[in-house]
Amino acid sequence: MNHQVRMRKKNKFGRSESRTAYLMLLPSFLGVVIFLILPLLFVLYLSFTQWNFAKGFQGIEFNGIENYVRMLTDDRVKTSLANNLIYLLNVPITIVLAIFLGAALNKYVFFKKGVRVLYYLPFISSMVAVSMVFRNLFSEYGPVNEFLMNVLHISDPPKWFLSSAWVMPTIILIQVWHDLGNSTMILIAGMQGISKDLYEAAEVDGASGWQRLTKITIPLLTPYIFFLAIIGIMNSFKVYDVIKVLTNGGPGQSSNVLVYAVYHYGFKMYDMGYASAISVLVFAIILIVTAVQFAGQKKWVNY
Amino acid sequence: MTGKQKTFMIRIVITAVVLGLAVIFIFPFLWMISTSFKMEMDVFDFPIQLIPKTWNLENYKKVFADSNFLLFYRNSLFISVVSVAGNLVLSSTAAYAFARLKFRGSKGIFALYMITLMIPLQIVLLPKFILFQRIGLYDSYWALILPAMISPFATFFLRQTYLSIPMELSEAGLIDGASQWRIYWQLIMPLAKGSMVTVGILAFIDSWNDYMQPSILLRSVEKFTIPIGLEWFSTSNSSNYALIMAATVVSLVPILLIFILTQKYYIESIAASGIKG
Repeated sequence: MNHQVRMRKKNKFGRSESRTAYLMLLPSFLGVVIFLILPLLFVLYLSFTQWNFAKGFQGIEFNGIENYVRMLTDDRVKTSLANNLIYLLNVPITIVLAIFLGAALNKYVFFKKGVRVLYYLPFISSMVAVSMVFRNLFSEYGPVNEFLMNVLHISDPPKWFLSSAWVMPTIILIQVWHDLGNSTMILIAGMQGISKDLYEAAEVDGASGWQRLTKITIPLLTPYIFFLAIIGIMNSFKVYDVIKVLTNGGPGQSSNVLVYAVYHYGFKMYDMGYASAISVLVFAIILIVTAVQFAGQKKWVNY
Repeated sequence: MTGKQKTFMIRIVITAVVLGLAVIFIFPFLWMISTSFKMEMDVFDFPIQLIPKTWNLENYKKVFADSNFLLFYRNSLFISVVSVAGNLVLSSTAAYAFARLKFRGSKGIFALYMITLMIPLQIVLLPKFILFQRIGLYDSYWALILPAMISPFATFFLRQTYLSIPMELSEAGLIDGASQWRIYWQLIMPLAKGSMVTVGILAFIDSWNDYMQPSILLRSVEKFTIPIGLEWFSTSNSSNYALIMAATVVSLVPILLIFILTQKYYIESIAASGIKG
C-alpha cells in the first residue's frame, strides 16, 4: 500500500518533470530549428536550383547539379579555394609562435599577467578596427614602408594590399597577430596541467631547456595543439571580415576567398542558387575537418 | 654564480625579450592611439613620432559631432545586451532540462544540438537574409537579436556546469515541495553564476564585434552597429587617416574596458571551453 502510493507519486513527479523539461527546452529548440536547421536545409535545397532573387519564390527553378558543375570551371571559385588553402599557413605560424611565447610566459617571465593581457588585446578587437589600423600601417607611405625605405634602404618596398603577390601574406600576418594571444593562452592552460615532477626529473638527468621543451612540453601539449589546428583550419575556411573590409577580394581576384565568393554571388549578383552551392562547399569542408577531428582525437592525441 | 642566481638572470633576460616583443606586438595599437591625436599632415612623418608634436583633440570632437557614433554605440549596446540576456535565459533553461530533468528524446535532441554546433554562421546567413526579407525583419535590430539568442555552444557549456552540481541538491528541493522551476531559479542557477558570466561575456564580445551579419541584414545608417558604422565612417572620410584612427579608438574602447574588467572570467573560460572561434 505504502509502496503503491510512493510509486504513484513518483510517476506524477515524472510526468510533471518531463512537462517542465519540454517547456524549458521549447524556446531554444524552436530557435535552433528556425535559425540553424531549416536554413541549412534551405541552402542545401537552393544549391540545386537556379534562382534570381528579384523574381521572388516563383522564380526558383530546379536545375540539378548544374551549380556544382559550374563551380568546376569558375575561376572565381577556383582562385578562392586556392586562396583559402594558402590562408591555412596562418595556422602553423600561429601555433609555433604560441608554443615559444607560451613556454616563456608560463615559466620565465615576471609580471606575466600584465604581459598576457597585452598579447591578448588583438583577439578581442573587432576585425574591422584591426583592418583600419593595418590599412594605414601598410599603406604606400605608411610607417612600415617608411621604415623599409629610410632605415633598411629598400627603394621599392611592396605595395602590400595593392599588390597581388603581397596581399595574401599581409592578410595572413594580420590573422596571426590577431590570434596569437588566444592560442598562447590555450597552450599555457595546457602547460599548467603538466606535472612539475617531469621537469624536475629531466633536470636531474641533465636535460637542457630546449630538450625539456621538445621532449616533455610539446608531446604533452598535443591535445591542445591539435585542438588549435582544427579550430584554426575551420576559421581559415570561414574568413571573410578582413577580406571584405581591406581588399574586397582584390587586387583583381588575388585575395578572393570562398565566403567572399558567397557574398559576391549571393548579395551582389543575387544569384542565390549558385551562392548556396558555394556555401555547401564550405560546409562540406568544415564537415571533413570535423571528421578528421573525431578520428584524430582517438588516434594521434597523446593524452 | 649559483644555480639560483643563474635561473634568476635567465628569467630577467627572457622577461626583457618578451616585453620588448610585446611592445613591437602592440605597436599597431600605439600607432593608432598616437595618430588619433595628430594633425592630418603629421600622420606619416618619419622618423615615426609616437608622441604627437601638437596634441589635437579635433579628431575626437569630429567623430562625435559630425557622425552618428553615439547612435552606433546605442544600437550596438541595445543589440548586444538584449542578445546576451535572451541567450542566457534560453540557453540556461535548455541546459538545465538536458542536464537535470528526465524526458523522452533528451539524448536525441541533445545530439541534434551538438550537430548544429558545426553549422558556420557564414553558411546560414543567406537563408536568414531571405527569411528576414520575407517576414519583414530585414533592416531591423531583431534580425540580429533573435538568432543571437540561440547558442548551442552556450547550452552545451552550461549543461556541463549543471551536470557537475550534485543531484542530491535537487532531490532535497523536491522533498521540500519546490517545483523544478523554483529549484532551477533559486537553487541550481545561482550555483552556476560563474559559468553564466563567462558565457555572457563571450556572447557579448561576439555580438559587439560581429561584422558580417549586420553588414548584410541592416541597411539604414541610423541602425548601424559599431563595426559597420566604423566601416561606413572610414569610407566617407577615406583619406583622413587621423580622423579614422580616432573613430577606431572610439570603437574599441568599450570592448577593451569590458575585457580588462572581466578578464578573470574570460581567461578562465579559455582553458575550460576552448571551443570559441
